[in-house]
Amino acid sequence: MTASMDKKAEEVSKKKKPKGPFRTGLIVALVFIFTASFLYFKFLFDRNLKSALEWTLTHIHGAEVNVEDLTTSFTRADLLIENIQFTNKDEPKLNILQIDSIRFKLLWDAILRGKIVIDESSIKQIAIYTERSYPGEILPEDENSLIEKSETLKEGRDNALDVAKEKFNQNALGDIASLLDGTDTKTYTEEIKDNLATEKKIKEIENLVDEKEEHWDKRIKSLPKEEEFKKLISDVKDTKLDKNPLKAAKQIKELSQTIKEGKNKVKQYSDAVSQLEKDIKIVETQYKSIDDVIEQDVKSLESRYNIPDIDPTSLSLAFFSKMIGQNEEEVRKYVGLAKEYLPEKETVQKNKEEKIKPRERGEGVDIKFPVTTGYPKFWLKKSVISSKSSKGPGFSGDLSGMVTHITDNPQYIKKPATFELSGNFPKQGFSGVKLRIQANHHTKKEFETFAFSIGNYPIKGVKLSDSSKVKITMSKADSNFNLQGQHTEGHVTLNLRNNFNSTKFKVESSSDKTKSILEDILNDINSSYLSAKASGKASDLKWDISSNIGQQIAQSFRGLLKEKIAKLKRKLRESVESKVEKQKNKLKEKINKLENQYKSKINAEKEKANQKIKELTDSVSNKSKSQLKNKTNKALEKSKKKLKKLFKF
Amino acid sequence: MTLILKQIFTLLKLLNSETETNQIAAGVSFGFILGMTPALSLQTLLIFFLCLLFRIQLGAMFVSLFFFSFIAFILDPLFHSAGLFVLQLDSLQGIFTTLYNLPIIPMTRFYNTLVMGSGVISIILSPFVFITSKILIVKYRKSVVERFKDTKFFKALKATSFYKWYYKYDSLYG
Repeated sequence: MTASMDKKAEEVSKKKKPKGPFRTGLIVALVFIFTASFLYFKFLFDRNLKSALEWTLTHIHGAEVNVEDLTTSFTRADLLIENIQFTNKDEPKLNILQIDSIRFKLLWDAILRGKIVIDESSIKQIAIYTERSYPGEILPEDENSLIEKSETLKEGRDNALDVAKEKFNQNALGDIASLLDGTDTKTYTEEIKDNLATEKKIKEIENLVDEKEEHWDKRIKSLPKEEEFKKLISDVKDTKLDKNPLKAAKQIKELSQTIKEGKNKVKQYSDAVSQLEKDIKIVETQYKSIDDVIEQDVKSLESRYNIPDIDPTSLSLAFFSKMIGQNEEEVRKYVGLAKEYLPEKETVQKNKEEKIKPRERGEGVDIKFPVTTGYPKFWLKKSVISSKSSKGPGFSGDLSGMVTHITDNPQYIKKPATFELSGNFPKQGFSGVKLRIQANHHTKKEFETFAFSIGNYPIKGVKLSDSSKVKITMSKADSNFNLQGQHTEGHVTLNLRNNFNSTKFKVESSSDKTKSILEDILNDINSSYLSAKASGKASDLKWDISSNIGQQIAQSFRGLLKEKIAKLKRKLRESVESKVEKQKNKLKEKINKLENQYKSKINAEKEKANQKIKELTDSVSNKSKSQLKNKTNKALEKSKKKLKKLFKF
Repeated sequence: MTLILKQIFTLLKLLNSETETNQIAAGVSFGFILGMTPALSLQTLLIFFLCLLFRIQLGAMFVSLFFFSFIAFILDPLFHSAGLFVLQLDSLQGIFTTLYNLPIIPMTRFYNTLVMGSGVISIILSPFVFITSKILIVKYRKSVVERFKDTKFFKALKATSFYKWYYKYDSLYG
């Protein structure tokens, strides 16, 4: 073995050449890697990306999504996706959305800076409910649909109808029908068994009065007693003034201090009286507020016993609430979803603060130089949307629109994000459709404006009222619609106007009388309008709805039901008042007792104390007068003696 | 890890051989530059690529990188001051602004005080590191290796058949 190795070693040493400066093996490996990568991107990447996109979209959507072709170009930095079809989950033979082509062209300059800037993009030929060549596969909903994965959409779906029902559950038409039917009025006026807010309030005031009584019992006991005043008087009387005028003056000064002490004791009575008066005032204010609580109880009972207000606003609300409520919840659901993907200003600011903050030791400090040619992290500069209506059965339209300046950092590009769409849907009879949304997130105070209008669209079988008593359907109308709104820091204002021409209504009611009245009113209405304004927090909009339909219904029913409703309301108030009357009177007695008993007691004590103080003052005054008289007499005697000595009498 | 260990063993072998001082010294000086750079950036990758492309002793580079990383940690305040000084030079503001707005270049993080400071200092010092390490290798070979070879223990070891077998094996497959 050693011999063979020797031989081989000699051969190797002969063959060994000096090595060059490069590692040739590495160069070969690099060439191989680059060639393999090029071939992969040239022939396989698009196919793999297409499959990955289909799989991802299918799992997000929850039903089969197909992409016919996907082409990427490395040199042009663009992406073209052709014929995307989203299967309709409810009817797999149809697509819920089909887009002929989507194209994105990115900027290489931005990519090299680690940013994504879509310089141009287009979305062409959007159609909905188009036929599929084969039924699409539906994934099990509990695991895979976007609606289950997105909390916002899930909550939106679960709550949409509940919220609409709760918010607009003022079915005035049904209540009116009940009244017209002549429901037994005893239902409304029988003894109220539930606990009323008024009763609770009276109990609270009673407790307050009890607390005050307890307090004043203790306070009166702590006030100065008659014995204390007697002691002060006897102290004064027992004081004998010294013959020495200087000592006597000192004694008088001490007696004045005693008077001051006595007056302080009287002041305690005065303070107690004014404090008692304040307490009584508090209790009386509370007592007066009982009337407001009674009013609240009456209103609450009117609402619970479905006593309707025949005013145009509530009737308009009852008439169109279902339509507005459902649409509002749908819009809110998608606004919530959009918010999940929109950057919040706070986050941007927070990130900025984090960048400005100096880094810890070992990481250095990033020096900022002026940015002359930069981009935000993501910027969709412009995307053109276009579509032509197809002859097929699907819902497609002649649409053109544009999306501009969608970015994660609007303050940087200083331009608003806009979405504009206009066109017609000839097959469905929708014309003059215009939508414009502008998100002004580049300004100091962020706000969004939106406007949506439809020049003309047909209405077929729209349910307006769907209560157990009355069902009203707008079976036919030519309509136009206009909505404008603004959203500023969580506050939304909306202005809506919907005009209905050539209207036809269908009325169903368990009450023939109601049906006949409503049919008479509605058949006379040829054109009507719905005007609505809303404002408030996005999650809790306050609607102000008016409509000539509401006005006409109110006018007709008012004559018929005004007296009946007023009588019911009066009876309900009487029931509430009689239920709480006993408690209210008892409380009044307690308040009077508090006022009379304690006030008179303190005042009487105060009067006695004042008399004692007078006695005390007189006594001190007499003593000081007699001291003065003695002093004067002595001075006179001294003067007389001096005069006699001078004239030698 | 195997590659790094193999390179370190090769370094030990080269240190004790009679040739290749330039490769080892270049490895040390490249490792010095990499060790001084605070984080992964574009120039780090570029230097690493150059080390792979040229026949630079990778074991020496890794050992030097490991050693100088600890020294760099102590020198951070110095690098920060140097970087701040360079980045705030009025005469260079124009060129830095241009570089800041060019594609790719910002990925080097040249605008960071530590990256700039360590970069400038390590590039200036790298020729000295190269020359110093070359001198030290030669001295090591003369003073340590030669003396070791003169010891009785090494001579006895050299006379064994095991050593002869290992020597031949190494010249063939090492």
